[in-house]
Amino acid sequence: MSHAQAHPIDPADPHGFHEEGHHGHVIVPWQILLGVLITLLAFTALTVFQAQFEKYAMHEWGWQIPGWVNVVLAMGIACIKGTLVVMFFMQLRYDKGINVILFLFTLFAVWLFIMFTAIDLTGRGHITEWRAGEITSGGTGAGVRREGVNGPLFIVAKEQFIAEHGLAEYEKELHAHHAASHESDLSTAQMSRAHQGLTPGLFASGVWEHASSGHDDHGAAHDEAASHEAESENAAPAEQDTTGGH
Amino acid sequence: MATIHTQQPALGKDDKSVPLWKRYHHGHHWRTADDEFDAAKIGIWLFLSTEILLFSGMFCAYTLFRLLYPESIAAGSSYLDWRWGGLNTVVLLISSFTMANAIRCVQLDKQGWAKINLIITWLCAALFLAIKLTFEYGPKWAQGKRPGVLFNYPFASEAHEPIWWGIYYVSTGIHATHVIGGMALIALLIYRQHKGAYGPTHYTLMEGVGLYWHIVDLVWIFLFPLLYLVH
Amino acid sequence: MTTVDRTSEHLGAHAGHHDEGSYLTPKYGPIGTVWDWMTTVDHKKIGVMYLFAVLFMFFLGGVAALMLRTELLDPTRVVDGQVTGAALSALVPGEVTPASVGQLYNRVMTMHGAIMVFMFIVPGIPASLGNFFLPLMLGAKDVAFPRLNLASWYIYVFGSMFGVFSILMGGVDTGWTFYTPYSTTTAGQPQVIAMVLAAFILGFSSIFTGLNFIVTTHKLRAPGMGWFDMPLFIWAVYSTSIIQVLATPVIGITLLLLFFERALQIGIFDPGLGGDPVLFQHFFWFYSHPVVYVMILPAMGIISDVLAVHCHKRIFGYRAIAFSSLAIAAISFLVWGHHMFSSQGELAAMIFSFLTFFVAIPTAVKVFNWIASLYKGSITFTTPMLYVFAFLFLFSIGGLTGLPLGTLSTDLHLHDSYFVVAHFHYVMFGGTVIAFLAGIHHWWPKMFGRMYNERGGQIGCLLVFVGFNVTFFTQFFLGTQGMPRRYASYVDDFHTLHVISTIGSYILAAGFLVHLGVFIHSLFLGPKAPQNPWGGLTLEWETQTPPIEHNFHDEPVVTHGPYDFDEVVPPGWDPKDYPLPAPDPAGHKH
Repeated sequence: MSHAQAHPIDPADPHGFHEEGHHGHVIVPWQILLGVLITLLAFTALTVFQAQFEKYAMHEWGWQIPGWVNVVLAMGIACIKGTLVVMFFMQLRYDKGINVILFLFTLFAVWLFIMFTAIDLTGRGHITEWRAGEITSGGTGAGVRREGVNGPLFIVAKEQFIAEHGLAEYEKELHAHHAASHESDLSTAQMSRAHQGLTPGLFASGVWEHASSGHDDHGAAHDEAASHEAESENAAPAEQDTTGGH
Repeated sequence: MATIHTQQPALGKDDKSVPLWKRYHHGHHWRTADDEFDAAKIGIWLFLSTEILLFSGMFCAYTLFRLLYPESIAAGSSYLDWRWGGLNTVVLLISSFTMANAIRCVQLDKQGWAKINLIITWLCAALFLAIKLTFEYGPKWAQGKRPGVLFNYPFASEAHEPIWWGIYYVSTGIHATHVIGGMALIALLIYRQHKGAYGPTHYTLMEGVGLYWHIVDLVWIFLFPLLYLVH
Repeated sequence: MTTVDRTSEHLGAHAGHHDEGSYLTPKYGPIGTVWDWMTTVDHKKIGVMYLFAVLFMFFLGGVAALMLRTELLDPTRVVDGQVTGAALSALVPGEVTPASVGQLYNRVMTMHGAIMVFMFIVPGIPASLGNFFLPLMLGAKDVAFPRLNLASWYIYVFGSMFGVFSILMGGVDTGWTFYTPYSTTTAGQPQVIAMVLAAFILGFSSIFTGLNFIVTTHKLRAPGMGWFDMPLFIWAVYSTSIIQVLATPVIGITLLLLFFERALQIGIFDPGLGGDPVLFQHFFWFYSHPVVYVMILPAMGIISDVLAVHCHKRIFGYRAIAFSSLAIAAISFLVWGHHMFSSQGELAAMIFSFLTFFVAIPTAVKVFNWIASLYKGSITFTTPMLYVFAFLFLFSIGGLTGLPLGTLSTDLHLHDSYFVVAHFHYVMFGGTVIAFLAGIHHWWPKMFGRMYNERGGQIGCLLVFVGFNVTFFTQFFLGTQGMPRRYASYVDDFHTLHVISTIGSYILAAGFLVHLGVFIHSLFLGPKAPQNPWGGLTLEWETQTPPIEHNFHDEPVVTHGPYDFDEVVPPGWDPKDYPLPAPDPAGHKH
């Protein structure tokens, strides 16, 4: 795929295209376009495969593939695909330098934006420790302005369902839903959370009543997160590896 | 050297036997048609920069909530079916290819092929939206998998799933809005191309819409693994 | 200033074309003319329409500011059971209490901030003077995308209407920064949505203008004009445009998220749902800090050009000034966190504080070069030049008081105090508005074909300068003593300083009234302006006054630099009136 293949337009036209130094118009051969499309489709298949393979390897052979591998591979493949689209479909490969500079500078700005923001949100506890816990534990929807909400939103939804349809129906539906969400308990990521919906017994301890009584009480929210973590660690010893970007 | 250009092009403006694109004359404030085309290209790329930065806000939000609540994001991701996402990726990639191909056909004055390619592009866009609405937004909304305070899904397992749905709906929603905008633009292209407005010497609008359409594809290339595959 | 009438002498050069009217000459009847202006794609007409629109917004924002100062003259309090100092009571619906007046104060304060930032100062210079003079200075017939330019104006008007609409609905009391969670959770405030949409729509207008200018600068320079033959105003506007294009989309997504947050409570910024309100601040300031340089960079460009012309001297350090504009644009993206020293983590705060000081370098480069340019210049004390001096003085104060605010430890004491208010008014008003006034006076004859009354302009300048300093210098003291910003009331210790500040704001308003009178007088009774009243060398002075519709009779070819005052007789001037100095034996250029 060299420059020679992408030949400029036949210059026999009346509108100034005959001028020297004309390099704006390039016709990319259809073979290249089709080749790029096939490559893109192949990479799409590959990225889906690697995501599925992780679950399969866990299930069949018990391989523990660290979570970051998934992220790095998926984003790496996405970057390759994006580069192909930009270079050939968008023809940046044949385009003027100014547009290339512009595009790269834009990506640089995006990087700055995400990087600096992430420095703040992940680095809050580095100097004064008390900042870390309070901010990252966050809320759960308890105390938000919605009628009938007096606890964490997902608990409210669950209780509402049980009140309307009964616990047996809930158990049945829960099974159906989690079977429907395609092999959810095969993923390593799922290891870090309850296999069958909610961790049994977690919410019987009474912490939720405590949390919902005072929403702005960050300590309560923190307790909840901590106890949740403790529970899920019992269920899934592999938690540390699975959450990629802690 | 008086350079106040007359608007009158070299070929007869009203000569119906000559296709529109041959009768096109560049704007009076440009020295050459090449200058005008290059300028339009820089303008489009600047616009694409703004698009990338617009979406960067959503990528930033995704990254940060992934760092704050990895489990909720993983749980949320598991509700999405990679098969629909993958199918939509294929659909968008094909439409991107046909768009690039339509421009190539116009550059070579193969008007019939150009039209076929444009129509396929438009249909792919429509298919993308149809899949999105019928198999993704519709059922999920009905099940109560809704953003923020509207969240009402009884079988959730993570406390911050409402946030996940907020990110999901807003980022794919803005993307879908861009697809709708792209469909309108491609429809305009089909109409104008039918009228013979584009040819080897003039296809600026096609080039612009094409680049826009590729950026819509590009954003999806990143959204797909982030939302459907990474956990 | 020479008093020779150069108009008649110039007739010879373009005698053949002289019957062609200026862009202001009506070609149709009254209704046709209005329609012609409404649908025009002429950058000059759009620039003029923008000028009047932003000045109207400045008027609205200014009225709000005077209301604030009037309230603070004698704040509403309850003394011995009696409500005292109800200066704004006529505007309060229902009972006049400190609380209800405070509520009104918050709304007026938001109105002042939002109008001044989003509708006046961000579009201000680039969209009005930039639109008019960027193509002229480049020797182009128009901007690259004229219809986009018109669209940008209509979007601006449409967006401003949303903002005014939110005020008519009762007003927003969030402050112009819309900080969450207050902006998303205060009950019964649907106006927030209108104001947020206004800012979102105005962003498009800003992007379109910036995009247009970048492409115009790249593709439409006159033959012979290289990048380093461009006037420094163009460099400044170009740098501004880069920021506008790269930063504005982020405020777009921020405001969209805020809109969804407000309308649907999606939770991304809502701590109640696990969202992060500080994330909103990051999003907001990623745009709003660079946009501070959108406000000040074009002003710096005006100063470079006006200063050189009114000193009749080559600008010192052309390339340094040009590159410092780009450097400011680049650094502007690295320092947004210094608006959040008290809300973010210390690690990020330290990094941002460190980076903030880098902004001072290119800024100081500019100021030093301007002052060096004055050396041995033949300075004329016209109104624009007086404003340049005012700028140099006030902007330096504004810049230097930024240093304690950029220092982490002192900022924690000073933040959210009147010290911050005084600092950014010294930069935004003492910098941008003062330079805007310099630019308007400098280019007024070219835009409207009439001279303004010089003595009137000088009096106005004096009043503005004195009034501004009286208003805002006192606020430095108030801030260091602990007066917090955005408060409708204060303890008695601050009373004297507040009174002085308010009196200053009235003097300031009087200065603007004088300017208004001078401009109106000029439009109707002013003497006809010559082609080149100040002796400028940039291309806008080569065309007739006011310019013809296509700007130039013949496409200009650039043969000299924009500041070669020691080598070139200004266009439209007789060499008799402009004795060139003896050639520099060393032959230095730039």
